[in-house]
Parts: sequence; structure tokens; C-alpha cells
Amino acid sequence: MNKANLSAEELVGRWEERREIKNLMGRYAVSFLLKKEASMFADFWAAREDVCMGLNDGWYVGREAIANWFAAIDRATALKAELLKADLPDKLEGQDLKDLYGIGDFDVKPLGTPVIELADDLKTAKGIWYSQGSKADVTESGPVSYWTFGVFAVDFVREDEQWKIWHLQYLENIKTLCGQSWAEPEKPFPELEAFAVLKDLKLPEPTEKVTLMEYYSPKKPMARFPLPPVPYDTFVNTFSYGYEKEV
Amino acid sequence: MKTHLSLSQRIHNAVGSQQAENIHARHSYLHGKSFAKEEWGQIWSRSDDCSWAHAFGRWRGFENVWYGSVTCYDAACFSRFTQIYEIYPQVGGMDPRPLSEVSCHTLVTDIIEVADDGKTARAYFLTPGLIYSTLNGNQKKRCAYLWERYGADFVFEDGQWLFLHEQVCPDIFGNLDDGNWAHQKYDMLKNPPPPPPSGAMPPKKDQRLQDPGPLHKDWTPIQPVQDTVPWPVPYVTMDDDNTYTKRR
Amino acid sequence: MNTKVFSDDEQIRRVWDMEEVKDLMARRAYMYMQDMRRQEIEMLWVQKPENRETAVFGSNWGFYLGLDNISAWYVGEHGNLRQKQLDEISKNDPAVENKPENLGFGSAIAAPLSTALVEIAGDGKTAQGLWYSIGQRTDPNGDGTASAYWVCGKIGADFMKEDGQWKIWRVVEAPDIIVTPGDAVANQSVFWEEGANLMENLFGTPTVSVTAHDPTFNWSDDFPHAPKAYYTYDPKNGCCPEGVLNDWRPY
Repeated sequence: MNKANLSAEELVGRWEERREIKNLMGRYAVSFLLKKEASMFADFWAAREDVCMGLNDGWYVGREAIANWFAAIDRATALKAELLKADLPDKLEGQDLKDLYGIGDFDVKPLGTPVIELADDLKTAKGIWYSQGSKADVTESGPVSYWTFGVFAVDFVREDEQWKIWHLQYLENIKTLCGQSWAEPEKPFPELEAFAVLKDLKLPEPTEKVTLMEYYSPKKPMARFPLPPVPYDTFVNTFSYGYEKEV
Repeated sequence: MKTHLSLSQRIHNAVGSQQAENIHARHSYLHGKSFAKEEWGQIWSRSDDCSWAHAFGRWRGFENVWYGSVTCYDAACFSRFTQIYEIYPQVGGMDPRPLSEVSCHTLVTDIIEVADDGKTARAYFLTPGLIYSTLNGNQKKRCAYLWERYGADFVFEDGQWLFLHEQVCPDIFGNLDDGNWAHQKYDMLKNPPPPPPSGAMPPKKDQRLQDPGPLHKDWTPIQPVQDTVPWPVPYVTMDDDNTYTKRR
Repeated sequence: MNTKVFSDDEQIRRVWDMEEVKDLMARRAYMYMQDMRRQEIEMLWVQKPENRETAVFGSNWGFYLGLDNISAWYVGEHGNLRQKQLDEISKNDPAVENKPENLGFGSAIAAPLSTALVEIAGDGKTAQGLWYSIGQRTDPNGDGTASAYWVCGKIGADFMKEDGQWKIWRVVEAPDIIVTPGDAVANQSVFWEEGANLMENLFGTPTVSVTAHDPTFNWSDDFPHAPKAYYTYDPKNGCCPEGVLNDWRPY
């Protein structure tokens, strides 16, 4: 689309849509920080059945798979608060677990380096963001923090006059304990009895198990990230950030 | 799309949204040089309604904001200069302010809304930043990470967009990169360090804060989720439901 | 200064100019992190002969002038480095085939962008931008280990419109901080010893050798500049040798 041929009204309309997409992704990323996993799927994702989410280990295809992933995080968050409360009675005794929901976790997924393309038909849009993040998590070693480097690559679709997430990949090539080098083998913190139950805590497996991204190692090829979107007229004429079954 | 507004209003608001990003970035680069006079002199509203807030509290009104953000800030820069000039005489004749440190609050994850009336704009950012300097009194380089959240309001005054309110919410801070911040905080809860000996802390100066803090707390493993500067939502005009500084 | 008053139609086109400049620089960041340097030069940088000649790539230690010189270093020397790294890895571990697809084996690199400050010239022909990057560079040592670094600093750029499309014309990458993950910066010597600065070593031998940015004094030199509103491009405010400021240092 040659923007020189668009009217001022068309241009400002497309700019407003672009801003909406940035706001949507900003709110999505900040929701991890605010521990809103219990409502994120309903708040940000499209209602259609062909939604999908790609993480390093594979694809969560369909509404149920993604909803289950968020629900598992929600349950884990509640459990971690319970364990911290039991571990630190002098600090947390008497406090309601509902009020403590989210303690121990601090998940910052900042979004920078955006490239966004709106389809000419304005029915879909695509964006990629780089996220140099940090995350505190409660593990079998108690609270520990990580540096993370990765990208969000997202297809958006318009539903009821609002932009929604349709396909999303969040792929990390570096996740390393803060204070350690990603170029060296991880030196885990000692396990703690109070958090032993977390050792077996796993999130649901992807519905399509395939390695989309491996963590950095000096003994592996350079990571290949999804490429930024390119201008397109309508979705069938561009590539997808979603799951495509191999044939 | 904001089709309920005129074309001219919509374009004005698009420019306002971009200016919110640009002005905040200009803050980052001026602050990185410790150019407080230039920052507050050039990109801030001088209105009585302006405010600047941090975890320790909020200044209200331009005069108070200037005192805290320029007068006191400059004094801290000059104090650092006096710690280094004898060790590193090559700094002689240089502006002492940038020599103090690079306090670089980066801007990402922008969420920006402009009021339908076009008079104000509101912006939320995550700011995973760094504070560093080479020449220091202890003759060691330093570099710390400081991750914060920003809530900022802007106002359109006399044909230009200016900062009106800013609230800074620091979450994590530590040396890059020799520690695990979550584990360190946990260790401190399990094995609290002894309190400083009585009288060891210098008396706090009168900071002239109108809203004394704490307004936001550093992250610890027992800190409940804080949403001190909620992201902006579409709004018609700035009011107490759509501002980072409510009127008193 | 840019004091021109724009019509609504002009204004919204300038709004899009700013978005396109930001997208362009972000595209460069994604190509950079995948070693797509040749494609970056061919697809994102100026291509008209007169603009190629005045293209610049600068860093703390000087400037490469002209796109051919930039390419020879940025694409050519980097490619040689990657080949050398792969030669060494393959020699020590024959399971890693020495083939073009394996260039970059054991490495990771990222210079993501934050804190965008962009100004479009009043005449609409050029644009200037400044970003801050908290990035990393990880290179294989050849023996199955690697050396990793946080690399942080400002990235400035000047842009030019060619046939209605924004192109990168001049770039300055100005690293301030290079930190080994797992080690405090306080353990580094205050002043870089000769040959010890990774980014200086990688910068090679520029066309013009000059101290453009000296992080010893933090941001005293203000280079690359935070762009200000302007009407027409002035190299004194640009990402080029003429833009280097010296008045901050008394002598």
C-alpha cells in the first residue's frame, strides 16, 4: 500500500489502529507483572477456535490448550503464595492467602524494538517485539530470578471492533539465573525442603511438541527468530506466526 | 477508530501521542546527563498542578518539583564531583553534572492514551534501566540495574506538549551482574541483617514533600502485587479517575 | 529549529514518517541479531550513489565513511570472524560441519532498541533518531566454551528518504558499558587497558579514527546527540565526524 495515495482520514485511522495494537500488547505484557493470568486469556485473546500460542517447546493449539496453560499458572501462583506463607510465618502469619496471591513472583516482559504491519484490509495485523526481561519465580530452591532474552511475534485479528491476539509466539533464546553467565552451565541454588513440592510442578505440555527455540549454548547453532512482518494486503497473502501443521 | 472526533482533532491527538513518547525519551537522555535544569526548564509545565513522585513521596507544584528535582539533584551531582576531582584531575573544567553518573531509565512497553478533548495525554512505560559511572570516589567502576515503572501525564500548553505529572515506581535494583536479586531478597528475609547502630543514619533533610511516601515499595518475595500506576484507558478529559496525581 | 506550521494533511504524513523510521531501525535490530548484515545493507540502507558515498557508520573510536567501506567492515570482516570461529569449532569438534549454514554457531547477539526519540526534518527529507540498547554479545571461543557480555549504550541514526521510502543513512553505535554476566563491573579496571575493550577490537580500522564518545566521562560529550526539532539536515548535529563535539573537554 502506498501511503502517499491515502487520504488524511485513512492515514489517521490506520495510525489509531497501530496505537491500539501497541497498547494491547503493552497491557498484555504488563498483565504478567500484575499477575493477571487468571483473566488474561479472556481479556486479550480472540474468541475464535483457531487461536494458538508457541513457546520454546511447542504449540498450544486451540482455546482449551491456551486456557489450560493460563489456568495452570494461576494455580501455581496460589500454591507458591501458600508455600511462602508457611516458610515465612514471622512475616506473613495471619494474612489472607487471597491478599498474598502473586507474592514471590515478579515477571517483567518489557516490549521494545516493535515492528508492526496492518493489513491493507484492516482485518488483521502483525507485530514483533524484542523482550529483554527479568523474572523472579518461586522454585524448589525458593525465590530466584532470571534474565531473559526473547521475542514476541504476534498475529492480531479484529473481533467486535477490537483487536485481539490470534496467534502468539513467545520464544526465549536466553534464560539465565541473574548473577550467572548464559555462556556457562547453570549453577542451581540448593533445593529447600519448604519448596520441595515445586520440583514436580509442571505446566501443561504443548499440544504439538516441537522445538521452536533452544536456549543458548556454545554448542548449538545461532538461534533463528521469527522475522519481522512485511507489508501485506490481506492475511492469506502473508506468512503466519501461528501453528502450521507439517504436511 | 476515534471517528467521533473531527479529523483535525484526531490528527492533533496522534501527534500528542507521539510527543508523549518523544518528550519522555528526551527526559531519559537529559536525565542521563543529569541535566536537571534543562529538563525541568524545557519540557515541563510550570503549572501549580504539576507533580513528580517517587517511592519516597510526591512534590506538588512547579516550585516544589524544581526544588526536589533540580536544586537537590544538582547538589548531589556537585557533591560527587568533590569526591573525584582530586583523584581524577582530568575532570577539571568539565561540567560536573554529567560526570556524576549516567542514570539511564530506558522506555519500553508504552501504553499511551490521549484525551478526546486533546488537552492531555497519559503514558505508562516499563523502564528497565541502568545507573553507571566510571570515575568514582572509591576508584571503582559501578553499574547497577534499576527496573521501574513510569506513569506520566502530559498537557498541551501554548501549542506544545509538556510533562504535567510523573510517578516513578522502582521495583528492583542491584549490581550488574554479580547477584541474584530474588534470592538475595529471600536471604534477607530468612537472615535479616542487624539494624544499623543507633545514630548511624544521617538525619533526613526536609525534602518539602507534599505527599510523603512510601508510595511504592521495592519488590521482595513477600511484597503483594502493586499496581501503583495503573495503565491509562481511553478517556474524554483529565479528571481524578484519569490522572497520575489526584487533586487533594 | 523547525518553526514551520504544518497542515493537518502534512502533519499526519509526518506522524507516519516517524512510525516508519522507528520500524526501519527495529528491522535493522532483528537483522543484526541474526547476522543478516548483507541483507541489512542492501535492503535498509541508502542505495543511490550520492547517498552511498556519504553514508557513515560510527562508534566511540571513529567512523567508516561510504557504504562500500562500511560493507567491507560490517559485512566482510564480520563474515571473516564468523568463518574463523567456525573453523576453530569444527577443528575441535568434527561433528560440527564447516558449512555456511553453521556460520554463527555458538554465538548470540542482540542490540534491542528502547527509548526512541525521533525528529523528522521540517523539509521532510531527512530524520534523526536516538535509542538506548541494553544488549548482549556472546562469541564462541572455539573449544566448546564461549564469552558472553552485556553491551549497553546509545545508538544514534540519521535517515534519508529515497523515492518516498525511508532508508538508513548514518549510524553511530556508542557502547558505554561492557559487563561480563556473573561478574560485577567494579572488578574491571577503571580505564580500559590497551586491546582489552571487546567492542573497540571489533570496530577494526575505521576510515577516520577519532574519539567520538568517551564513556569514561559518562555522557559529557553528548554523542550521539539527542536530536532536536530541525528544518534541514546539518552535519554538525549528525551521526558523522562533523557532529562530534569537543567543547565539553576544555583542552
